[in-house]
Amino acid sequence: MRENPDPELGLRQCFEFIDELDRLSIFQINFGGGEPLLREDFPDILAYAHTKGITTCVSTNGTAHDESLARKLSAMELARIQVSVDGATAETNDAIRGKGTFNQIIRGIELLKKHGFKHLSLNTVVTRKNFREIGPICELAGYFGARIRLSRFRPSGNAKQMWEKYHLDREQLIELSEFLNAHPEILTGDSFFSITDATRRKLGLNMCGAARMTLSVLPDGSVYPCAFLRDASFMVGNIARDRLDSLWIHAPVLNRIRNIRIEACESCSRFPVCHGGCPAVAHFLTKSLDQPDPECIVSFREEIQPYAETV
Amino acid sequence: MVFTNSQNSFGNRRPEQTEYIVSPHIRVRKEPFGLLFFNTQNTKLTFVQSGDILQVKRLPSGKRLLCVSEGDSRQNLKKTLANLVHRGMILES
Repeated sequence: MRENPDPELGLRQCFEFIDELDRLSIFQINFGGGEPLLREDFPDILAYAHTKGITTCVSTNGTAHDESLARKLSAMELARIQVSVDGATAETNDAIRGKGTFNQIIRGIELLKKHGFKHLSLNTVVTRKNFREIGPICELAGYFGARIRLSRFRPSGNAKQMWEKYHLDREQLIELSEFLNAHPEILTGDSFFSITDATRRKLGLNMCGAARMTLSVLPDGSVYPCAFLRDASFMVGNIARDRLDSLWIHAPVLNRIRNIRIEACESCSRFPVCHGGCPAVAHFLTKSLDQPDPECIVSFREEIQPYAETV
Repeated sequence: MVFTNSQNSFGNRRPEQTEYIVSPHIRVRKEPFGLLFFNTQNTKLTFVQSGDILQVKRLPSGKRLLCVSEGDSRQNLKKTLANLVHRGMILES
């Protein structure tokens, strides 16, 4: 049994964990935050994963790397970087991410491009505040030769307090769905399956990957099914004391997630596309994992249709 | 076609068989449905619904060999292997 006296895993523990991931033939590690690039030994962690052939994807605010780090990252063939930007203008982005951050992000992107970083994408969490700038944000990504990934705003963590103010309304979600269907080049991960058309199925997973394909490990080693299901009741274990393969097979929380049954969705024609949507959104908005995703586009259309007919 | 477990009980290799090596940029693991391939160049997943017919062996050199259950020569499997070769995911040795 390994001890973990510090709140954050040490470098040796990180290496041991990567060894375990390699033994389990894990393909990719995504690093998020907070801000992973603030950790001084972070390049060593990336490099170690790469020696095992494991691809890494770093989600960064784009402001934490200097010339030296940009050079190091650019030399890593298996590294991918996703820079968060929440607006096409300083006004919109800075209102969400903080004053002055837009210009810092652009400088960060330019630094990576200067050193020839290949696998760069921009990530935007779509909210009411930036909804009308999605097109220009995509153009911004194109300008830098980067891909664009749109992420769903979910009522988890700090976003719980901002949910009412920031989440898309129904008409916006339908408009976004149509926009995504028209732009298959835009990445969405698997976060938008509640509004995704069948034509985008081949672009990624068509169901929630939590406890099936992915797990979330916090800096202190605690394990959760998903980065968006991090309430204490969803804690699976801790890699500082538990074996990951044992947790994966035996943890009741993970088996609970795998056995989610959303009966209300099973007769829906879209069920093979979305499998009921995002359990995290359902949990935080309905207090149940076994409820349909409240942002399901089918339920919106059913509610909107009678109104449309009477107009 | 041959596979890594392609020797008969006398240790003789069957002449008509072919070996497959997993390409260096491809990672693969066994899953209940078959094999799951991951392309490190574009992060695309490929699901091969092969059940237990295909297996992966890691050699001490780090190379990975694709093994087929001995004697299995069903047509779909040949097509699948040919498709994986065509896509550069495995290499005939």
